[in-house]
Amino acid sequence: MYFEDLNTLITMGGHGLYVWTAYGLGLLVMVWNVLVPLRHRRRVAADVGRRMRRERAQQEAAE
Amino acid sequence: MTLRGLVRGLGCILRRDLRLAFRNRGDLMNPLVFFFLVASLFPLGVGPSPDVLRIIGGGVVWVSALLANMLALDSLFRSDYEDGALEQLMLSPLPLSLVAVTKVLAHWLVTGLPITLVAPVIAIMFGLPAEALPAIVATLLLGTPMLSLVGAIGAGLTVGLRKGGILLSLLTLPLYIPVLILGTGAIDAAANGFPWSAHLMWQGALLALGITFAPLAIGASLRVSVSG
Amino acid sequence: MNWTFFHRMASPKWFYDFSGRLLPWVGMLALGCVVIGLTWGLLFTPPDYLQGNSYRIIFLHVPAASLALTIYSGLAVTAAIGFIWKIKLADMAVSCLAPIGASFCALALITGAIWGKPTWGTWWVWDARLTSVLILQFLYFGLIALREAFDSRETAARACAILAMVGLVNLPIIKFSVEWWNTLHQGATIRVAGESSMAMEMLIPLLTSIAGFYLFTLFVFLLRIRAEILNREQNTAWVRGLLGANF
Repeated sequence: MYFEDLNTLITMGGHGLYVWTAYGLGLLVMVWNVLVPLRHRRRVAADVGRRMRRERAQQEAAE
Repeated sequence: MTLRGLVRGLGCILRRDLRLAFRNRGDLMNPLVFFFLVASLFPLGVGPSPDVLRIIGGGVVWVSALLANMLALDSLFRSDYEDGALEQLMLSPLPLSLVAVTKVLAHWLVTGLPITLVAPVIAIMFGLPAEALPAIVATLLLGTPMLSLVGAIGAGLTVGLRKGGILLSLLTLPLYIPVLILGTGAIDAAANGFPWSAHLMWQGALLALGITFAPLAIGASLRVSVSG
Repeated sequence: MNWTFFHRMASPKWFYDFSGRLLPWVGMLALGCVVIGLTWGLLFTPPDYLQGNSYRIIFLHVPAASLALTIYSGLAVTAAIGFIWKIKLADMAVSCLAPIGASFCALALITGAIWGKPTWGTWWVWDARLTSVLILQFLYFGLIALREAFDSRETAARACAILAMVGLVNLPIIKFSVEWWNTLHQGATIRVAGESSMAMEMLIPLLTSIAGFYLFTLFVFLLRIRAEILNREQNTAWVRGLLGANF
C-alpha cells in the first residue's frame, strides 16, 4: 500500500476531495446501472403475475 | 421511368413548393427576420464594444443561420404530411430520395439562400473587415445546403410527432457542429488575412458526402413516419 | 458457415436462456476486475510526479470515456443490423445500450471536470476531447428522447435505428472537426499530462480497470436486455410459464 495511514489516504495530499468525489460518483453510476434493470424486471414480473391471477379468477367465476 | 419523366416530375415538385412558399409571404420572411433578431441579441448581451463584436461576429452569423435554418425545417414536410400530399408523393413512381432532395432544394432556395445573401449586412454591423465578407457568403453558400440536408433527416423522423419542434433541435443541432466549425474557421482565417480555401474545400467535401447519403436517410425516415 | 446459429441467437427465448447461463460468470469477473483495478489504482500506485494524487481519477475517467464511445458505435452497428434484417432482439439491445452509454458518458464528463479542477485550475476547458464527449452526450440524449417520443414500439425502433446510423457516420466527422477547431484556437491546448508515456505500474491497473468496466457493461447490458425481453414477450407462453411459477 502506498499510503502510510488512513489520514493520508483520505486527504491524498490535498486532492482527497476530488478523488473521493469522483470515485463516489463512479460507484453511484454503477449501482444505478444494476438497480434499474432489477427494478424493471420486478415490475414486469408483478404485472404478469397480477394478470395471470386475474385471468384465473375470471375462469373460476365462469365455472 | 425515363430520365425525362424523372426530371419533369421533380421539376413539378420544385415549382409547386416554390409557388406554395411565395403564396405564403409570412413563411418566406420569418426565417430572415429571425436571423436578424438573433444576431442583434448578441450585442445587447455582450455589450457594444467593437473589439468584442469583431471577434464574435463570424460565430454569431453562423449560429444565427444555424438556428434560423433549424426552426424553418419543422415546416419542411409538415403541411404535406398533414394534408396527405406526402403519401401521394410516396405512391408516385418517382424515387422517394430524389423527391425528398427536391423538396430540400426548394426549402433551401427560400430560407438558406436569402440568409446567405443578407449575412454580409450583419457582418458589417459587427464590424468585420471587408476581407471576411467573401468568406461569409462562400461558406454559407456551401454550408446552408448541408444544414438543410442533415436537418431534413431529423424533420422526416419527427414529422409524425405532435411536439416535434424541440426534439428536432435536439436531434439535429449536434450534427450541425462540423459545418459550424468549418464555416467560422474560414471566416476567422479570412478576417485575419490567412488563406481560407482549405476550409472551403472541406465544406465542399462534406456537402458532396451529404448530397450522396442524406437523401437515402431522408427517404428512409419519411417512410418510417408515414407508414408507421 | 452455420447460419442457424445466428437465427437462434436472434430468438429472444434462446438469448434469455443463454444469457442466464452467462450472467453469473460475467458478473463475478467484472466485479473482480473492477475491484482489483480500482483498489490497485487508488491505494497501491505511486502518485504522478506532476499531478500528485488527483491523477488517480484516470482509473475511472478513461474506462468511462472509452465505453461511452464504444457503446455508441456498438449500438449503431446493432441498430443497422436490426434495421436491415428486421430483428426484434437487435432493437431491444439498442434500447438497452443507450441509457448505459449515456450514464458512462456523463460519468466521463463529470470525472473529467473534477480532474480538471486540481490539474488545470478550472472545472472545464474546451479541450478537444472533453468537447467531443459533450457532443456524444447530446447524441445519446437525442436517441433516448426520440425513442420516448413514439407511441408505437416498431416505429420507434426504426426511427432510432436511422438516427443511430446517421450519428455513427457523423461521429468521426465531428471528432476530426472538433480536434481541428481546437488546434485553430490556441490557448485551450492543454494536453493531459502523462498520456504519451505511462509507467507500467500505472498502466497495468488502468488496463485491469478498463477490462473490468467493459465486463461490467456487458453484465448490466445482459441484466437490462433480460428484463426487456420479459417485458416485450410477456404475452408468450414461455414468459408466463417462467414468471407464473412464482404465483
